[in-house]
Amino acid sequence: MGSVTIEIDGRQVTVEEGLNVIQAAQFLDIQIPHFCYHEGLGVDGNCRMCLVEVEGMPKLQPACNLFVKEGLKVRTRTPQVMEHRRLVLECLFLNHPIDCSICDQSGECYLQDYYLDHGNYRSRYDLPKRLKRKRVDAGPHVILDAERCVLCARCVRFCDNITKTGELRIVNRGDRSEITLFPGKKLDNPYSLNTVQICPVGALTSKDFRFSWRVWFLKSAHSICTGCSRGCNIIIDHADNHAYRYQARCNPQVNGYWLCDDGRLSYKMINDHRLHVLTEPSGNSRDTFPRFEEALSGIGRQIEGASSVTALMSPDLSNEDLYAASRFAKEIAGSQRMAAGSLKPDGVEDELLRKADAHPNTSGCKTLNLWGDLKPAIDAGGDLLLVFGSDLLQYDNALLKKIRSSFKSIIIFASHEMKGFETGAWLIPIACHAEMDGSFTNFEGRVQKFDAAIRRRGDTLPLWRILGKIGRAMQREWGWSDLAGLRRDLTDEFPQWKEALIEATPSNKTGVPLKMTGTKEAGEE
Amino acid sequence: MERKIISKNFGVEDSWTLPVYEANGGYAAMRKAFGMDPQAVLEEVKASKIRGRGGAGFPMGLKWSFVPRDIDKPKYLCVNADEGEPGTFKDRHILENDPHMMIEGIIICCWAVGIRKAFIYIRGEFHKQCDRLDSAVREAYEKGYLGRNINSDGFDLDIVVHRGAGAYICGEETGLIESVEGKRGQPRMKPPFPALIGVFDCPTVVNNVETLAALPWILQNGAAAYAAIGTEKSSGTKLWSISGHVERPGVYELDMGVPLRVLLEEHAGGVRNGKKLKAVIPGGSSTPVLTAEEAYTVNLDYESLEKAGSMLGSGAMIIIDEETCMVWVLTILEKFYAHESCGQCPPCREGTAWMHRLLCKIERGEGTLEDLDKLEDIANNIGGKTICVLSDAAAMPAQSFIKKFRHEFEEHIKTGHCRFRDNKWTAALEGVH
Ligand SMILES: Cc1cc2nc3c(=O)[nH]c(=O)nc-3n(C[C@H](O)[C@H](O)[C@H](O)COP(=O)(O)O)c2cc1C
Ligand code: SF4
Ligand code: SF4
Ligand code: SF4
Ligand code: FES
Repeated sequence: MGSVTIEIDGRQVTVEEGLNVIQAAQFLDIQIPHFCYHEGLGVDGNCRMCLVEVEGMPKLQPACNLFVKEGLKVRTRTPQVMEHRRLVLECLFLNHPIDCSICDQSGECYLQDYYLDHGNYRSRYDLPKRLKRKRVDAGPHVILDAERCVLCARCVRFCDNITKTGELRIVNRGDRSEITLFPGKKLDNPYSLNTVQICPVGALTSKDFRFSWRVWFLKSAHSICTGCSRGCNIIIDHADNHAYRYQARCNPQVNGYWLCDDGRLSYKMINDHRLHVLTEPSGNSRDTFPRFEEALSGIGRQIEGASSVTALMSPDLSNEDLYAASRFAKEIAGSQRMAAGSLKPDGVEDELLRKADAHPNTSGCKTLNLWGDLKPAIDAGGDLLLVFGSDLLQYDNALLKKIRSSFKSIIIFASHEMKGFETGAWLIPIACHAEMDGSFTNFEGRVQKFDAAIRRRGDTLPLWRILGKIGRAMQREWGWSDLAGLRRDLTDEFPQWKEALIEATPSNKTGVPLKMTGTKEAGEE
Repeated sequence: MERKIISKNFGVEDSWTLPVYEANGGYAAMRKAFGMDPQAVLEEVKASKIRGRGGAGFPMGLKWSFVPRDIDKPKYLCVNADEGEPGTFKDRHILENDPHMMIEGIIICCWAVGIRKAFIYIRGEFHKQCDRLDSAVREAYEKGYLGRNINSDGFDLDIVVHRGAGAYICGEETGLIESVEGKRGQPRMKPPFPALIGVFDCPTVVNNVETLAALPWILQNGAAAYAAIGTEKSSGTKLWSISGHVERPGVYELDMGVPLRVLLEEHAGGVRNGKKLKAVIPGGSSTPVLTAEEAYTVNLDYESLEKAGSMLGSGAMIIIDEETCMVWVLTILEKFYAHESCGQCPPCREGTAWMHRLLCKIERGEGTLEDLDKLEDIANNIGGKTICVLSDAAAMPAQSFIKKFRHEFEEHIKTGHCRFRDNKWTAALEGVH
């Protein structure tokens, strides 16, 4: 497609054909307020908030339905436009409950933001408001408040056109119009929480996130969902070193604008059942240790003394951790057997996003030539077992018993508690993806970086770092002082990742800029 | 002057049946059209200068010419028989008395534009009219005027009669299209226009019953003859619906351009019970009201009514006598629009309801002058900014009533009661459900 030059508020911009004026204006950092338009859902034209002045047209025109063409001249802040925006806001507030103080959307609400930008009037409405249903249990994850709804139909269009499940509808006419579920239906499709994210107001809220935190206190980091091998792009919203939610981050090539509900709610693993302290096989944790470094030396001695070493790796680890672990296993531990693999049962796969492979980095294991079958390695038994990643031994009790009996000693590097290994193994806490920078390779081989969101607790370190420490405790010149150094070595060996890991923009620059997605931008740092 | 083109068979015994229609020359124009090149038919319609009778007055031939000639999608005609605008009741007379004239018009239109399927979207409450339409369609099929190969040149045409379910907004052409598709009746944003993307995303012509019913005469008598009737910019005759405080309410066919006074006094017998005229809503409830003085000097054509600050609309006059409360009338009208707004666009959804509630407050005798200012301000601002023009339709009466009869509103507010009606407050006007 070609490009065209248009003028917005007296400034020229050259953009691709096919964009509408809301999109084109983003390139000039001009925000045109809108409710119903969403890049992932297309134009609907019902909210009338985006009207702008167009040269040669007597009436205001909706910017969402105005597509760029050479010579188009648009003005977005004329008195007429501002007056119109005020009118739309006044209309939207007429029957609105204005319960911002108890509304979860407060702080990331289009209505609130636009009122401050454009409305800022005193209410002229002194008649009774229309009452609608509040606190409707819409589905397993979503609560509906029909009074807060601005009837933009985003949620309706999402369920009609994206999931094609069609649970929602606007019924009745005029100001009796109301968003509702079909009788007997629940909003329980596997993507239902997207409606919460795209709802511009607090009409659809997440049961999980409801009343948990004020969004303006949330900080955000760009990351990748670890729920499956799709690797959906996300924002981790966090506060006080606690993750509160995932929000979808637009990446047209991977997840578009969406997340599945399971993935979205998988943020809980960042907070729950974490391993924070180093534990020795006796079950003593750091509290009783003299020093962390001393424990590392103990581990080092154990590795040095082992007559045979088996190393198992999890496809939940980052590319960088996998690389470091594999080199550690070879160069430091001299392991005879090494495999990355999974014992986790497959998840549900569908046509939209979800992949059966429930690991974020199976492709990474494969590219690093680590992928293999875990069972033969376990069956062979041996002196020392190194386990990299917490999910590996969680799915099979019989196997677990077998491991305990066929290896003399076990060292586990895990981000989460290890059931069945409370004693009898070294447990070394490692960072999960929310606590460090790193990258995953998704099912189609796309390497995607993620950024650290929260601080690490206790003894937790990224795997590659703790391995360096162990190496040094063993008096070996081994390891990397920073991630960049590790990535250089990694990409020297696997040059196909050079572009993604070294040359590409940082993770917060991938995909379409957030502001163009029409999704929320809560608490952007 | 009186000239019967569309209503020529009204009153004839069994006028709605095929034999009677044919005995009076029916379906000859269709045969004539089949003898012409479709493009020539279109040119003829253009030359007749006929404008749409549904309300917007868009030139019919021009609308057809926007439909792409060669496109590998089906094309459709939607006949707008929803007739919902208060005061308008002319299409029902055509459907009731002469459905074949419209069907012949449909065939001519479809031949000219290359359409093989027409939907007639008929107002759901029109039971009798619908029965007559159904039987007329059946007769036309039986006679071979509809169906396969109707001109022995391979031209097929089917008509589907689709009954509405009681929404004024389904008379708006894109709301009608949504409804025909089986969806919730709410207008679509334009562009794209129906001529390119209409029913099932295919090119679609939407025309009013009366507009189509004029086609047989135009084809038979020639475009020039039709264009010679009426005025320069308003050609032909028009069915005028006249109702309200008038001696002989009804439908009258008169040339475009006749003085309103002639219709009111010579044909409809003047204001009822010898009362004086206070106001006239000239073109259906949404058109700006005229004072008696304005009404007595205006002619019934697009240009004159526009010059007088109103519109010809659907050609439906509501006559209001001197003893009528204008606050009450406007409250009734705004209740209608608040009820019928489809609810998509905030200015229309909330604005119409707000206007109605303010009017009820004034009606109750509780209004303030500020309320009146608010009312005017809302009316001045909601129009022209929404998906369809229902918001304009709601705004125009409010604007014109307050402008021209402000004293009545002020008196209500200042005295707290109505000089015309002792039950100054009518509960039935309040709720909109
Ligand atoms: C709210 C609204 C209601 C309308 N209702 C009708 C109607 O009942 N019948 C009709 O013919 N046109 C109606 N129209 C006009 C149609 O949108 C359209 O202009 C007309 O059907 C075109 O036909 P014509 O060109 O033959 O007049 C309505 C328009 C609006 C905005
Ligand atoms: S619930 Fe939210 S997304 Fe759905 S129509 Fe209402 S405001 Fe729009
Ligand atoms: S589809 Fe996969 S990657 Fe995407 S949100 Fe769901 S679990 Fe996460
Ligand atoms: S103007 Fe009113 S009736 Fe027309 S689409 Fe908008 S809300 Fe519906
Ligand atoms: S009308 Fe353009 S964004 Fe809603």
